[in-house]
Amino acid sequence: MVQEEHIVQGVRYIHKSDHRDGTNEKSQWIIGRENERLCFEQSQLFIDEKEGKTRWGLHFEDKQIANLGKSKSESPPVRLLFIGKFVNDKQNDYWHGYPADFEENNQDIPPEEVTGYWREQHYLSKAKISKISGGRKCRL
Amino acid sequence: MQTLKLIIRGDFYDSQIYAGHLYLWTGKGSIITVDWEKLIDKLNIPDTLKFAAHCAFLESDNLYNKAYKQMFKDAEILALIKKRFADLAVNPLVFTVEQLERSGLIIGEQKNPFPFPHADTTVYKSNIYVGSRSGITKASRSKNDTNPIRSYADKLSDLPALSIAAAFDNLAVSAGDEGLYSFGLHRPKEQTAITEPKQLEKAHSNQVRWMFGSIFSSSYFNSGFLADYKFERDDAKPDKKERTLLAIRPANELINNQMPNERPNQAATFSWGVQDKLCYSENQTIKVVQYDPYKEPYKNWVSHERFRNIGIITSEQLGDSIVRADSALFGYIVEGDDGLLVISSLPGENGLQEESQWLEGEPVNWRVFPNSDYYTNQLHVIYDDYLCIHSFNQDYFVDQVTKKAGISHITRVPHYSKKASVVEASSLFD
Repeated sequence: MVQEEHIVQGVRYIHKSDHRDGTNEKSQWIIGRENERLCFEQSQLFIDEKEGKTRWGLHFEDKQIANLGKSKSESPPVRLLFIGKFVNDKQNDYWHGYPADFEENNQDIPPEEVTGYWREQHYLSKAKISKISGGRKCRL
Repeated sequence: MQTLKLIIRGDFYDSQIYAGHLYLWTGKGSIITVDWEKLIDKLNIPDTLKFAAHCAFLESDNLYNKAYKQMFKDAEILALIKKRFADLAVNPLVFTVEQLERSGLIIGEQKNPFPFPHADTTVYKSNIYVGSRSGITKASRSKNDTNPIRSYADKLSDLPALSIAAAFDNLAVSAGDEGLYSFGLHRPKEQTAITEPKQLEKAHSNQVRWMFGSIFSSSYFNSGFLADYKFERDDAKPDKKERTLLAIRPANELINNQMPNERPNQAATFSWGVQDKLCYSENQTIKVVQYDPYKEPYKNWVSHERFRNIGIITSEQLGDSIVRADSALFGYIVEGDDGLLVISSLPGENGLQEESQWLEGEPVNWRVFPNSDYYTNQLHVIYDDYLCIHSFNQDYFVDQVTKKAGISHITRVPHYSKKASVVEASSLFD
């Protein structure tokens, strides 16, 4: 698996190829690598005993939230995704990310601290926050 | 289908109504408790409309009463009652939080003790339960006027809870990709440990509702399924509430068996079940099957009388993308990407197709109260800067046995331990 590595805000960030090469069981980025790193740079850090460190990011186009990925193709229909989740590999000390599918996976629902922050910042409407929090269908 | 509307302007996220109190979760992290009974009593409306307002907002069960059924046989009385509801619907009742405050109708505003933003809430036996990604929390209602809800919420479980519903001293929980769970709420005094949630089915679950003592799970990733329970009745111990899980019954198999000529797709657009109605939506239709848990199950479960095909509702307004759906006495509510479709229990003018109404706009939250004693006719819809409480008052005049849209009133409260009610519920299919 080809892994492209960058230093972002002083930490190692790796672009995982299986989230870009059409792998059936992985969600896929539809934004370029540079935008993926920008999404990581602007993401919100969340530290939890169980889950460790995670970061949650959004992608903006013309100051509007935009889709950044699509759901894995093994569970059709394929849906557009707009939240980036970033996880820390403690052992090898690097971060990587993928488009989060909160409809299908509980661990892809951002923590209340993150959705609360996005709401306060008016990044997303209350209606969208409510849908994300309940793992419900949510389209931009 | 004319609905009454009561609007409260403000920044809200969720609402609940219980025992005369309206609870409003605000966007700024507080909960406002409104004295709902007082608010309706103080409405500035003519005396001739007070009775309609009372039935519409405070005692929805009133007009289902047998005495009224007799009165409605008098066409003049029926026409007058309908006119009162129509007159009340002419002008929406609109308030702001500040107006309610000035009128002494706000019991309290307190810091929200629950995780926020949450996924779902429910009120059961004077306790408020909140489900969220981080688990299930509970706080009891309090008699303290400053904090009408206890200021500290107990964490009951770490189980992610996307949708919750309480009945039979159990909390049913949709835990997304962790499946469907049931969680005992009744803790014997000698038991100090919190009961662990029990997994009923591992398949994905988005939304959960009770069908009497059974539990229906909806999902975007399967056709939906019923955790079908049998009641163990013991006439010697009328309070005994024993339920035994018979089977997990996939909705597509159930529909396929009841409607063999209308073979469903592998997965419905969305399916849901509340009390006696199981709904399966696909291709702009809702296939409706009636459920009667009082019928004995046979070994060949699919052919027995616990399930009965009662027809198909068609609506061009039913989209391909259903966010979620629910059932009330007054009909079905289906959420699309940018609005709500309300399919009324009242048949349309041609007597065949149910009336429907589209409520435009993406809601922040919405809910109905099919298990409450007094608020079964209400639909709460929260938008960005106001709460709209719709009151539907057509179902009193609808035949509860033959209706296709909406749950049947006679089966609403499952007093299965009382012999008389069992007879009444069992007579549904006669």
